[in-house]
Amino acid sequence: MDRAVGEIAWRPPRACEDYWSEFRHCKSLKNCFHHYYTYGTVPSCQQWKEDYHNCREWEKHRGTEAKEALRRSEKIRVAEQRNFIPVWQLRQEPPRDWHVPLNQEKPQDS
Amino acid sequence: MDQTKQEEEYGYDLFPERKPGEHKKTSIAESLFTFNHKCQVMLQFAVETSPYAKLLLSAMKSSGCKVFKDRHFSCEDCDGTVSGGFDAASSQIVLCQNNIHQQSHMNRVVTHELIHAFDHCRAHVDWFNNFRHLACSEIRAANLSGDCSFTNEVARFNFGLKRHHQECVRGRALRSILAVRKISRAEAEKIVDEVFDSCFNDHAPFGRIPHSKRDAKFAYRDYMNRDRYYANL
Repeated sequence: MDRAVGEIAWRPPRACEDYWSEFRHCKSLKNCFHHYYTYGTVPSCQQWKEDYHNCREWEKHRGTEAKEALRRSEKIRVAEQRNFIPVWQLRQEPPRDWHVPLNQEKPQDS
Repeated sequence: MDQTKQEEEYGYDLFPERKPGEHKKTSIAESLFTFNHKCQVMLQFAVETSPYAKLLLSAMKSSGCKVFKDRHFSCEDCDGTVSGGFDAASSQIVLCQNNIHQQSHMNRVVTHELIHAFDHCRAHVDWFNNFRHLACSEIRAANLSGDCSFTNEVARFNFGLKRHHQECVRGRALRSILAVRKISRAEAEKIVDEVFDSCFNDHAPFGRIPHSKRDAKFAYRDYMNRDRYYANL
């Protein structure tokens, strides 16, 4: 299937129901507890709710404001997940010997 | 290099069945009525039903390291109280059949070791010579596998609440390093401190710290949705 950039119509990165379920999950007592147990603070969940409303808004009126707000919010989430300097170098290819059968293994070949 | 020295230096003495070059064969009786059989059954259940395991297996497949149960998992008897390990030399996850007796424990060990395997698959991890790499993978495994959940810690009589998760991750990473490498506690602590911030915040492939099955299910949902997600950022 041909997929040139711009030819596929834009849609929200997640289904709107997913934003709502993330919001509900974020606000749950269990999650608040886990967040406090991990970070010592209560989580902030407002962004999920805003994203849900923007998602529904875009579905109804296809406005650029809602679309840009959603994209901005998700880009911040991605940046937050990448906010560290890796200790190791990522591979370009998987390890050569991952699939090598066991009885053919040579010890300490890497 | 002297084989015994090598075995001790890299923690292989904890896994006495891992002799290089040998492939163990089991009898039918052994297959059906032993810890080995129970281990195999629990492993099968874990890979089929645990959202943590399913996500890791998908991520590894996408990275070119498809996991085959018979090739990449091995149920063995181990020394002491160790529950499992990842042997980078043979690309195998070792499950200690004599020390894992509950399904929830199996799920956790499988997740923990799959995280090591995932790191091995996606990065140039120097397991044998670089302690920072080893520490990083142990921090990630303790952080993301559920090892340090509140209930697990309480069961170990480690009572703590505010930010206790991080303390637990540090402690367990330290323990894991000291179990398989001959370095001093002070040295190990220093290494863990150096890499902690980076590795604690590396949540791949989950995208979050999965504190519960619900978190893991949501993470799995996100992973399955990743094509749409990145295409529409």
